[in-house]
Amino acid sequence: MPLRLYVAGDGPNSTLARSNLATALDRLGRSGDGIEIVDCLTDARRALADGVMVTPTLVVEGDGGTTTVIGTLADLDRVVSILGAQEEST
Amino acid sequence: MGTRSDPADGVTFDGLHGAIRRLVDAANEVESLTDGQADAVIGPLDTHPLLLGPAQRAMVRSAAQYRFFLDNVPVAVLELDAEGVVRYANAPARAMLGLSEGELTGTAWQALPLAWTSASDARTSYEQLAGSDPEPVEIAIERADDTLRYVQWHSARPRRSALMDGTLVVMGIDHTDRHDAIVTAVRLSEAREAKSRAEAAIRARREVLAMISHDLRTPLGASMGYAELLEAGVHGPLSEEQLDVVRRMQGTQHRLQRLIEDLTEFARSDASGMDLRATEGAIGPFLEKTRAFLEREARQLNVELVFRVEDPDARMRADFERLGHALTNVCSNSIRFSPQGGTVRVDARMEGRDLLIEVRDDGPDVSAEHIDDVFSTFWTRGKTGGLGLGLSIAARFLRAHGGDLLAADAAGGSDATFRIRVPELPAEEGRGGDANGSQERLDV
Repeated sequence: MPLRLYVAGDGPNSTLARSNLATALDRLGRSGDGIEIVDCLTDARRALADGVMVTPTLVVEGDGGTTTVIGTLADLDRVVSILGAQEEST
Repeated sequence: MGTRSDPADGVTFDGLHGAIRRLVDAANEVESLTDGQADAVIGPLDTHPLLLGPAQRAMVRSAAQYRFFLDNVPVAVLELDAEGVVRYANAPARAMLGLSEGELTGTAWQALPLAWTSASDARTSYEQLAGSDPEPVEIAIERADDTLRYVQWHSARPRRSALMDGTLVVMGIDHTDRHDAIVTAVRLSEAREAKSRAEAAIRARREVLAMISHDLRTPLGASMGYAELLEAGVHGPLSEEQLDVVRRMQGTQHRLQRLIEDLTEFARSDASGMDLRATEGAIGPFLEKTRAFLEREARQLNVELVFRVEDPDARMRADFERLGHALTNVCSNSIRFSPQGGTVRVDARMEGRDLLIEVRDDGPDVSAEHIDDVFSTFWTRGKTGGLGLGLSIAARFLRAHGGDLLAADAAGGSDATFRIRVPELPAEEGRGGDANGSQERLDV
């Protein structure tokens, strides 16, 4: 289940999103090794090409389709739920 | 969310406010920016270039719009801060005040190059514009070329705008053209009134002159008639002594007649200019008539009158009546200022199409310092039997004829010389006629 997190450098919300995503994956018993971090400040073209207009944006790709979550991922239960559902579908 | 116009803020600021609103809307309406692709929004977002780009572009465009509009309205717009210091001036304001943006920005209202009428004027005008119930003020602008532009200043204060708190917008409308039109209209009206008054004065003067002419000439004419009857012996023969007295009376009557004539002619020419009556004729008869007219005065003052005409048959086109009057005045002046037994010599000749006449007498010369005075009204050479009008009238006639009358400086000599130059009048001048028919004035 590929995960891509679009961030804006080390901005506070982007930093929080990174941390919350790591915690959510940890709850699911997964490591964060497979996460692709795209920094929009250094690779804006990639973000534009992917249609990402806001950060933080988490894109979860699975067999059931792509799920896009934006924000700091502060509601961990909800994030775990989304990631879990996507994991089951693959 | 569409743009909303807020009349309280005025059109001028709508662009900027619209841009700010769009920026805030963009930040809040995330879904519109992500095209509804987000499945969930969990927590706050970053603000980064991708988010701000469209809003920033909208703001920059609005700012450009705002500036374009401001620079192209025919009104000077100044944005003053809470202290009354210029924060922004549009292009018409810069042009109107003759200052650059850099020179205007940071300058207090009171220090602007406006034509303040007093020291307190600047402060009062600011209070008037910035007050809770602002009123337009009229303050001119003094330009570098010393011209004035008449400007009416209005003010507006943006309301419900935290970003422009304390800002006062002052707008100057240049109505110099309207002001000038009003001034011109007033001046025209004054000129018409002045003309009307002048015309009334001229009419009044003509009436007075007509009255003088009639009231003085009529009894004088009767008196001259009785004198002639006595001289002719109609009432019985006169002794030589009585005849001499009668002739002296006639001389006095003659001078009085000339004075009335001069006074009337002077006022007439002064009031209405000259209407020349050109006729063609030989110069000989014209000069002979003048000589004959002066003969009596010369004889009575025991002055010899010698006329010499180089070519009496030479013809020219001129107002002979007025020339006769002018020459009579000059000669009469010479006769009166000549000593008893003296001679007045008149030499006339044609030079091209100009008639040149030189009048020389044995009287006191006209010194260089008085040459210009000779032709001034009421100036005389010394002892006088006249009003000092004769030479002035003669000079005026001759100038109207395109000629001139000059007094030659005799450099302390014992005689005086006057030179007359009379150019021929063009064929279309005047009504035309025969020279012999226009000598009535000389025959009076």
